[in-house]
Amino acid sequence: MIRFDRFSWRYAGASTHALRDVTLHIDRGEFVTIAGASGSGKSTLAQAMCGLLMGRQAGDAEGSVCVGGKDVADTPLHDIAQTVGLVQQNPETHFTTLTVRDELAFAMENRCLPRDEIQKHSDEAAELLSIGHLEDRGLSALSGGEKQRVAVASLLAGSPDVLVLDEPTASLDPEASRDLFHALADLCRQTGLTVVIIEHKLAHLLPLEPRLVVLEAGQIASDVPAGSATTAMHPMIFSNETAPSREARHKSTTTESVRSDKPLLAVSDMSVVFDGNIILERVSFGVHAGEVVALMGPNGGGKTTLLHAVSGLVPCSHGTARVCDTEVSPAAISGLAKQIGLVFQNADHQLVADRVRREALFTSHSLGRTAPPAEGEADRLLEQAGLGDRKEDHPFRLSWGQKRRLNLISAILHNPPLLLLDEPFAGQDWENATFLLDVIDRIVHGSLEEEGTRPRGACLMVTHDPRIVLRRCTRLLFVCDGRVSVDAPVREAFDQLRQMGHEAYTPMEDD
Amino acid sequence: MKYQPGQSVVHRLHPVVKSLWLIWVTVAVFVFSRGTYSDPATGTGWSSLNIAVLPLIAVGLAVGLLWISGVAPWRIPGVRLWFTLGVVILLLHITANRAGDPIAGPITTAGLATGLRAVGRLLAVILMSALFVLTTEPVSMAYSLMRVGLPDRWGFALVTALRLAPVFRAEADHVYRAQLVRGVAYDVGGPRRWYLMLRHLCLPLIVSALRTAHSLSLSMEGRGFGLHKRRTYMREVAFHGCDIVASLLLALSIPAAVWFSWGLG
Repeated sequence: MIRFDRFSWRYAGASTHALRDVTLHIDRGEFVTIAGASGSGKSTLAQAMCGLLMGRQAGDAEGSVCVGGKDVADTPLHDIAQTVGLVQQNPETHFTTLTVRDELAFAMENRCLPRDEIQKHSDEAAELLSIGHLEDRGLSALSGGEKQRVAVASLLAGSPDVLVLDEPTASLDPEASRDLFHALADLCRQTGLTVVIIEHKLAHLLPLEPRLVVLEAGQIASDVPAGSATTAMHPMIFSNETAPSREARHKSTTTESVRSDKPLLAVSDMSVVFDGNIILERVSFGVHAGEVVALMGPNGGGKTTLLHAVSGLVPCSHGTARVCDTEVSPAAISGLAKQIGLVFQNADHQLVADRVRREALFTSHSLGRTAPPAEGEADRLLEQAGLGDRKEDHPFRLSWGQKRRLNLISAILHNPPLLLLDEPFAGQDWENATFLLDVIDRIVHGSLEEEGTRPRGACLMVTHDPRIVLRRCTRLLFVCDGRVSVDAPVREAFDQLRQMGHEAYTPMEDD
Repeated sequence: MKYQPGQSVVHRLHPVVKSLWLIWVTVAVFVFSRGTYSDPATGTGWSSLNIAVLPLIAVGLAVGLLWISGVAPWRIPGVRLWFTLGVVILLLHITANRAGDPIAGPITTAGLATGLRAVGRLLAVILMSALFVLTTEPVSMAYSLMRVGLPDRWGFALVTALRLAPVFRAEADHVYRAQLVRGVAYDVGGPRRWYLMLRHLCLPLIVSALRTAHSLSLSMEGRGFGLHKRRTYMREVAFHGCDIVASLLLALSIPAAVWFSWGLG
């Protein structure tokens, strides 16, 4: 169905090949996962099989890619598209219309099918992805998981032979991710469709026994046939075990002694109502110095709103939040900026400066902290983050992973005691994640020179990765339907989540 | 002001018929209520309040239709402002225009007529547009226009714009907040705030808009948009009895207005 024969691709202006000498044959009806660290070339591989590279982007190609017997290089895109359907990372930018019904019909309308046939095929596609009950809904009213299903169904309606999904779960919570993967595996089994999933979160995918192709630096590092890739492999592939966190070493000395202190963050009885909808309801908790608290829960459950309310971006309709004894209110945001380092979900959103180094120092400068220590610190951190030679580049030219590292650096250079992070690890491979974790560690426990002193900071972070929570967090808050339903030390919290039926959020045995 | 779902006859009217009515009323209140005051003794021109009749009928029509469609006219956002403006315009005309026969005090026929005409034109256009926006689902408007001959590309430009408007708005909101906590001093007032917004907000928003447009175009092309000259539609947009009646009324109102305005001279 798909044949890569000694295919290489180098983007114009790049010094190294994005893909090098790739030979890969995928047969009809296979269920394939392509994994790899960020920058390993997996997205490029997906674009190549969808006909989005040659003739569409500047670069040099060698070898060939054939899809359904046709060479991709000299087949028009709409022709390839009849064979291969691509589901992009963000369903928001996939949809053309406003309702589920219109979206499912879109491809068939373009191919001039008569009305009753469109109706029939739409119903079938909706049935296959169990979204029949959503057909009359507006797209904006759907959850992330539902949106991805609609996106998949909208491609099925054009009856392609291959479905390529480029990190389809990037914006989904673990339960929605698991359900989507199951739906895709069923689809593959029931219809004989070839399904290729580009993904680096494998925890929920490997139990479905895909053929696993792992890319490393543009080359195929391993190709494990279906059924042989086991969950035991996935930590080996990505989590080159990190050094135990300093937090672990500090643990014994900190938790007990700090408890008596005033919390860095105290949230009491806080509710947030938006447009008449209750987003958070009577939430109370405290975060003390030395704690790294994980915030987990389904999307739409209120995690991001909680972070925003705590930093004063969203007004509370009831109750209060206090950061370092300052009451949080929208009027006090500039004052709060000193105490808080907030990293948003989307790396692009908080880039403000036109040079990487200026970006790193922006908050320090606007808070009037121009002292040389911040500058030296910035240079040191940028160096560690592998951004040493990009200091004078525009931040928008960095890769996603690099932007994420820059985001965190720029949020901590003014030395805020409280870090609030919204999915800092989404789309990051283990190496990037380790860097981020070390920076967090440094805020929570002070810099290396101050080793042995009392912890001075705390971190509250939204994450869906149980491996990180298990290794680096001290406590877990589970936010669901606007309430904190679990608040306990990590291991205990995972046990509670299992009992509540939220296994998708918990680590697997070999993690 | 945005579409309010409903089941009234105005809601159910074909969007194209509705937009034709909107265009017609907007044109008619200006074109068919012209005329200048001249002396009634010479027999030329008009001597009464006739010039204000058509605009006032249009206002009455708009209010009536708003009522039928279940929207209280005074609940329309900004309607009070427009109404106040209308009263001011009326007073200005009455005090400034002293031609014609005196009615009471400073009020003369010409002052009252031109004043009422101006107010009628203003309110007719405002209320009719509000009626259209409140009772027409934007997407079905776009689809209907494509069915009566608007090229697909234009139609879908409209549909995707409608789809992406809230997406971009949310995006802008996020970027604004993210930068606020980075210490961009958006909470200062005045022109400095505008300068800061221009400087820091534009680039992230443009980058995200371009990125969205790129992946949207891939998604549309990938699903065969523009492959054939024509396409089919699953949505049925049919003409109903009420559409035929409304179209007939529209057709009849044109000669009526012409005849009436001839009477004005």
